[in-house]
Amino acid sequence: MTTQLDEQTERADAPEPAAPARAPRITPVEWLRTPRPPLPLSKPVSLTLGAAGVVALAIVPFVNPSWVNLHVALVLIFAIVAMGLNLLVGMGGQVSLGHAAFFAVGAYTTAVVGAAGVPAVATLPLAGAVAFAIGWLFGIPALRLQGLQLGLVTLALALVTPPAIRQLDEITRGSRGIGIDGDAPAWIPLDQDQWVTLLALAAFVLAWIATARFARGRLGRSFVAIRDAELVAETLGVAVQRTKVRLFATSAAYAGVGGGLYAMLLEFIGPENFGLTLSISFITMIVVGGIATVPGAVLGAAFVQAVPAIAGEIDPAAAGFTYGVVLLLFVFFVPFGLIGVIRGALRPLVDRVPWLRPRRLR
Amino acid sequence: MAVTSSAFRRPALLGLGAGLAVTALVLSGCAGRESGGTTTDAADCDPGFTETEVRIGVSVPMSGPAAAYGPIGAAIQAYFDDVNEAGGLEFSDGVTRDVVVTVMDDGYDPAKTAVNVRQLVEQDEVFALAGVLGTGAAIATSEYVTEEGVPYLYAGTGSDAILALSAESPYTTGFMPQYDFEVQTLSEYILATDPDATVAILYQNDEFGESIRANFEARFAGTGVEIVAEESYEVASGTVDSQVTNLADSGADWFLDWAVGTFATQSLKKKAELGWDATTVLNAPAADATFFLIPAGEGASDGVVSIAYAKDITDASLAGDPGWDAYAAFAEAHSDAFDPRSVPAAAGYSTAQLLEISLANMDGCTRDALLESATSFDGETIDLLPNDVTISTTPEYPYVFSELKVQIFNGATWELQDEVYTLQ
Repeated sequence: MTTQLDEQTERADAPEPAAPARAPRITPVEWLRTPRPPLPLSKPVSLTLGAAGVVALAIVPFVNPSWVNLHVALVLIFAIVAMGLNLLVGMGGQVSLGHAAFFAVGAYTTAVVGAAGVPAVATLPLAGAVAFAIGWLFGIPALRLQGLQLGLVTLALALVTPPAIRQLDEITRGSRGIGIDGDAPAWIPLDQDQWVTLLALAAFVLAWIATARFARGRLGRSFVAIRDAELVAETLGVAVQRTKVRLFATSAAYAGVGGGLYAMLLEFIGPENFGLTLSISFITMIVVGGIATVPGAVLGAAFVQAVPAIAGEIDPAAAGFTYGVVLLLFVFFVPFGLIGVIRGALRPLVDRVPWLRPRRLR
Repeated sequence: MAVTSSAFRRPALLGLGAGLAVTALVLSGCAGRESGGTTTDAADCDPGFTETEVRIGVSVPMSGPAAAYGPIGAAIQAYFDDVNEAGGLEFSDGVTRDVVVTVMDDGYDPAKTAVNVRQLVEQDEVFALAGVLGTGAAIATSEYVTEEGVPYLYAGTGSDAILALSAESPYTTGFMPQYDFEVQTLSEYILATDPDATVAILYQNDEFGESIRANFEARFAGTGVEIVAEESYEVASGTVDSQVTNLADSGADWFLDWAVGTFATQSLKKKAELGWDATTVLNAPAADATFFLIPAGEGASDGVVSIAYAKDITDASLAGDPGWDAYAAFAEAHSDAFDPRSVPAAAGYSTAQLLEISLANMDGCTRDALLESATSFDGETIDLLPNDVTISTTPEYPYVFSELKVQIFNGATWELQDEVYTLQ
């Protein structure tokens, strides 16, 4: 994984030719398997596109029936989690198979605090904070481990989540499950599904901005330094252990906020919501979408939400099988994720239209 | 060595922006939002009910860990396909309509069930939902179906929570006997068989198990029956062997086994190993011969007592019983869609028959009329109902069964007992 990322990073940082020389002939499979740098878009263009996307999404809840909003909200929620996981895996080079645990922490924080009378919106930052704290505490011992061991420890975390929820009966109401009031405050004339979809959109935009800022800031640079060369990073004065823990906790906070929104959306949660498959689908999202890219998280979330449903429509009996085959094909043929495909497809357009690019590349 | 990841440094928004914009436009083009007004037909009928057809929605796990319950949906669909092929179902207004069933897969993921239920109501415009599996799903969707006024009939649960909900969410009814009614039936059976019994109970250490224990305690209070040992187990634990050993030490005559799933098999096996000579009373969800009883080993499950709310479809000696034969013929004809010996398929068959009665008897074409019809059965029977048991329902009690029998396992099949127990 690291080598792929290095390749991608190096290519991305190489000077980008404004108009590429005649490309050598390659097969479609080779084309799919080519790592690609981000599209060289100028800032105004990306901002306009981003704003257009957000506006379009903000309109969605008003013109669609609630089942569509539920789908859209779930994609946004999963995208938030995937962004956080991408920070950890893509930028930090650490693995977590247990993010469903932090998702559950967030969901139950919202549920329990909400039941105590706090308005649901106010519980969301708290959901993130509690997940952050638990992520921090868990990270202190766990992040001394690396690679497979860290994978195993976090896998264990995912496995104990449903039993732990049952065990903490007095707080979580165990296997009876717990109800959440996800309705909009009385003064906002929105249905529950519209309200939560818009909340999820707001959280999603915040998460996107936060992730982009992280990546550019000092913290982001230390994350990448640790991923690529831990020893060098240490020599350069990065507090390796503390940075890793901070990264892990931050990533957990994303999952926590996502979990809080999830609870508000479904209005009822139980231990069965937070099984191992959820953790695995989080990992699937970032792999399918494209590791270490922000838009990839969104594409991956949409994939995980849509493909099993489509597979089920083709043949319900073989839904799991179809989904598995699609996943295998993706890993084999699209190792850089959906974002890689989109970049490849749109690159010629960007190359041909100069005003899409920043001035220095025109 | 590159220190920053350019992938993050310069967010490539193009792909996403364009994709999302297109998706949004497409979605907004194809599905409008209706608020409030649900009536589409001229005759003031609710959506999903026309002159020619009635649409029913089902969501069950057909994939994932609970895929074994998928036949519920397949059987409901197959049943009404047969009805439609034979000309349709005659309603009380004399019009014959097709009953169109849409089954969706939720993989037992509550989030998917929530989406499916909304999609069935809003996109497929179903008239009612039936046979949706799971207690959590029933509670999670209760507010929605109540708001929309969509009957959510014969949900795959017997949880006491459905009764607690029924005051504010009368649209949800459960297919399985209420857990507390199960306790009542079995405690009456024990009291009648062995008035001075000593009993030992094994239960899950959570709210569900705790309520079962408390209910038994209440039923036995002031009688000659004494609970001499209680052991609980964690769902997270690997085995219930030590609990069963402790219970066996009490030397009780009766073993109330409320272990769920494979724990039930383990407990039966351990009890046989220890040579504990008590009669086992097993909870209904675990009383599945193929899955849990026979795997416990030769002889380990002989004499197990459980409630009966359906005939044993695996017992070939029932051939000749008209209801059993009808199911056998139905299952045989659809053996490509589901395993004829699967208990969930039989549950789907019964659900379909209950729905058929409710639809045929409804007065008018509104969802409320269906709910009223479903909650006012008066001594109805269906094919797989144990003989002498009938179904009577009221709006106050949101479960199908208010009469039950007791059955005893003989090592291969269940033997129905004669006595009928009535809800108190």
